[in-house]
Amino acid sequence: MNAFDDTLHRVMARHMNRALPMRTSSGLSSDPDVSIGIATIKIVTEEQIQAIAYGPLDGEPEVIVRLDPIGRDVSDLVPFANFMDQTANRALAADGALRVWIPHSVTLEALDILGHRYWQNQAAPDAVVRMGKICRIIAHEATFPGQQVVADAASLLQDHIVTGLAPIEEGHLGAVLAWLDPAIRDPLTEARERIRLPASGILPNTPDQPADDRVDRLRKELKRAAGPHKTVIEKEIQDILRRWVLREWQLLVEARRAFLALDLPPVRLEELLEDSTKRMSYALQNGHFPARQPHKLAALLAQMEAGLEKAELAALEGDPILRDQARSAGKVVLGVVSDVRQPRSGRAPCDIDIESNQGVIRLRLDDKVKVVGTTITGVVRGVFSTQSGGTRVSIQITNGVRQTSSLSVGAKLEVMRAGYGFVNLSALQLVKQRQPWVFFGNVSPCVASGFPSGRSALEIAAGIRKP
Amino acid sequence: MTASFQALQEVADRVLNTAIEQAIFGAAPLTIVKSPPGAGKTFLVECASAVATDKPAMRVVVVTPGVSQLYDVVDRLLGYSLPRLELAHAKFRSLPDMLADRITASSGWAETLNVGPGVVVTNAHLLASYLHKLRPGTFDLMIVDEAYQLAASDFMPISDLATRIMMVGDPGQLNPVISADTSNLEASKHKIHWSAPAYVLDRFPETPIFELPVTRRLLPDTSNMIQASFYPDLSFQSIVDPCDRRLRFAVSGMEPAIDQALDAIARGASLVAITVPGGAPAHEEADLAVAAVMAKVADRLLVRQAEWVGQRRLTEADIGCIDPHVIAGGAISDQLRQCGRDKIRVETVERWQGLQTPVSIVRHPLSLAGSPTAFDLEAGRWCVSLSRHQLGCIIVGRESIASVIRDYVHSCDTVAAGARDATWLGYRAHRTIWNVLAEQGRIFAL
Repeated sequence: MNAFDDTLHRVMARHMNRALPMRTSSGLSSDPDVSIGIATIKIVTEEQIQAIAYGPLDGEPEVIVRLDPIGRDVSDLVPFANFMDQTANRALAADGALRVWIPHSVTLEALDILGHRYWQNQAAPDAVVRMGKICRIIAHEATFPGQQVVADAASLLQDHIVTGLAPIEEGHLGAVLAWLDPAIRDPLTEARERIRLPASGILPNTPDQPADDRVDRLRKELKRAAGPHKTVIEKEIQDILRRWVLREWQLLVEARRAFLALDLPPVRLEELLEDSTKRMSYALQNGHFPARQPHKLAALLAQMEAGLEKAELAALEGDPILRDQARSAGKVVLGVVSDVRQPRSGRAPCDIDIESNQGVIRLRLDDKVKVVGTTITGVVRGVFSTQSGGTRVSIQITNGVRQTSSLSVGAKLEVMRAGYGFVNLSALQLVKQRQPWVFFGNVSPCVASGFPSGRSALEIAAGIRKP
Repeated sequence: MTASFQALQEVADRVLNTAIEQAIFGAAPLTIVKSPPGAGKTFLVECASAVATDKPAMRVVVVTPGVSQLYDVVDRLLGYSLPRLELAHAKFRSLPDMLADRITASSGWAETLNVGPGVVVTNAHLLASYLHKLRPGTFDLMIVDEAYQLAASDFMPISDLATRIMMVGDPGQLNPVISADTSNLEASKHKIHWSAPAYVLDRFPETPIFELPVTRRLLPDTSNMIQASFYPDLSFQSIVDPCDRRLRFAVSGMEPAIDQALDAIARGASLVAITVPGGAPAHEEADLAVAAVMAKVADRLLVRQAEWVGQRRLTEADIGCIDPHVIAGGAISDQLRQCGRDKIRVETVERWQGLQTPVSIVRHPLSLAGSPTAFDLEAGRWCVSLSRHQLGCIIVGRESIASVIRDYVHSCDTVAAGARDATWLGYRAHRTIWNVLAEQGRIFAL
């Protein structure tokens, strides 16, 4: 969406006192059987988790509150570790299909750091080490564009709806939810009231809610306390942490509910889903191995690039609103078939011309394209400006030549670039075997010197230059 | 040519000869040639191909990052009597008109290719697709053209296909196109997302490097600005004699600012700017007023019968419009069409890379509403925009450019810690160039 459309939508949303959908399809596939939620509260300065709420999303969560989150004893994490292990096992039994809902990206960062801290920590219990590995696998998966495992509720809502808030205010999940609750008459006021307290996985620290300072002080007191007084302090810390982590959990549950209530169909996400489940299945079974060798890094980069392209094309193909926006940028061409050159009906060869009134298009010669909503694919063989300021595109049809209803003069078609991104794993496998020195060697080899002819390069080139 | 230009030319020729000799006969398996804009990269590729297929009778492969570049190289190599010249591209591609009937292209890799001394020109992806059919050392010499546009990850599969490798490229222009977030990779030992030469130099800093010391395209005043702003580590000078590269108008000027800017080019200022009053419209993707001025500039060039002195009168084919954004470029095309100048080429910066034109008309990327993004400030994109012209470049933008540059506040977290910050470098280049243009009275306000 361009800046003008974005602003216009925000004005409309504010006028109508409700969020407006920006898409007609979902960028997230349906929740698989193994779907869990995780919400966290961390210590801001230490990046240590001090409370976790977790569990299935259709019931009450389990809550762990940590009295000493920076201590070495991590046995308090074992219930969460066991839960993650069970979840991983269930996901493995389902061929890697897993969904982890989190309220916002801060939770993912917290899980990533938790993973880094324990996945190779030999002093930690085995269950916690396994938890660390699973956390790293989940956080790693989240780095792939278009992935279908981690559902970041705040980010999903931002991608699919627009509110009457300024974009920066939409960083607060609670504020966004105010625009999705029909019971709230004045979502702007409500949202700004909610923004007073953070929704970013930390304890609030405002004059009326000094929870962070209070917990800090209580922890200091706890070090000197004993007997019943100690128990009282512990209970107060636990109560504060429980209250605020449950608030995060509640935000997550409400955001998920609101997202699902948009009732957007997941369209064309099968390939992205398959990519995700394959990666997860492999990693949960074999462990997390960060890419370090050059061919692994190249594969990682290629997967990220391919994911980005697949996600963009899937969204475009599945969503007329996005296609409408993409047309203004020339990424999709809407036009009418003005000529069909097909000597034998329903057979190749088949070439068509499409006339569009779009002056700006991004299709180039030899681009592979597809016709939206059909299985017709082709290659652009010509792009010409028309007298009226539009464009005529000639396409050689390579697939779907039998779809004569679409391939007939007067048919209205939408054409977009076909997916190209793929990971050339067989080439990278050969690279691994061949170990080219530029990437795998530590010293540059010497090659046998040759003997120049004595004539300069310029002379030699001039000597064979055609008149 | 004056004596000083002659001396520079001789230095440049020596560098070219030495670089080729090292790449083909030296003991180092990999040689990098850094080249400023218009230094004759493709000519170097031609010479290297000629030498390698001469007495050493090498099997040479010229690799380009993209397919359009390979067609350009073939077009140039067709001017030589090489023992063998072959072109291989993907199966679905068709030859461009300029090569039709001049060469038979191989659709994909074929066993019949690369037999005996000669040259195959292809792109990196095609070789990678046929890697299972190509053994290490299939070629004796690999010349990677436009190497700074080839990502190391794309170079990796093909990197052992030749015993010797010569990379030729421009380090100041656009980097390989990578859309994914690579900040995590920046911490890796292998900077696989960098350009191939940058990766090689990171791992093997002792790799022989040759720097072409001249530009044959840019006039001295443009060359000085471009070198100072974009190439702090690559010293070069123009060997274009301004006396041989002059623009003249048969019809005198009458349009304020626009004709003054054109007259300034005719007087020898090859880089000038025209500003349009006010700021860019806040909620439009194209600034129609700026687009109209760009079209007007093109029109005035032709109405005033601009002539490349000693060469020819300029036509629409001699003018190119450059806009970083497709939609804004579309607005320029519309304006050109409305004034009957629809044969003037309008393209994005990416499409102009590697090309040249007598006169370029460039929309300033900071002619915008709001704060500039990393895309707007990117150094390589601005460098390409300002280095396509042989006679003159007219930058067009809003007068607010000065305040956009003055008020810009750089965020410290735009790249991973320790990584090269192309956005900051781009901002500095923008600031330098705009200040120089202002100091030298080259900005003409409408």
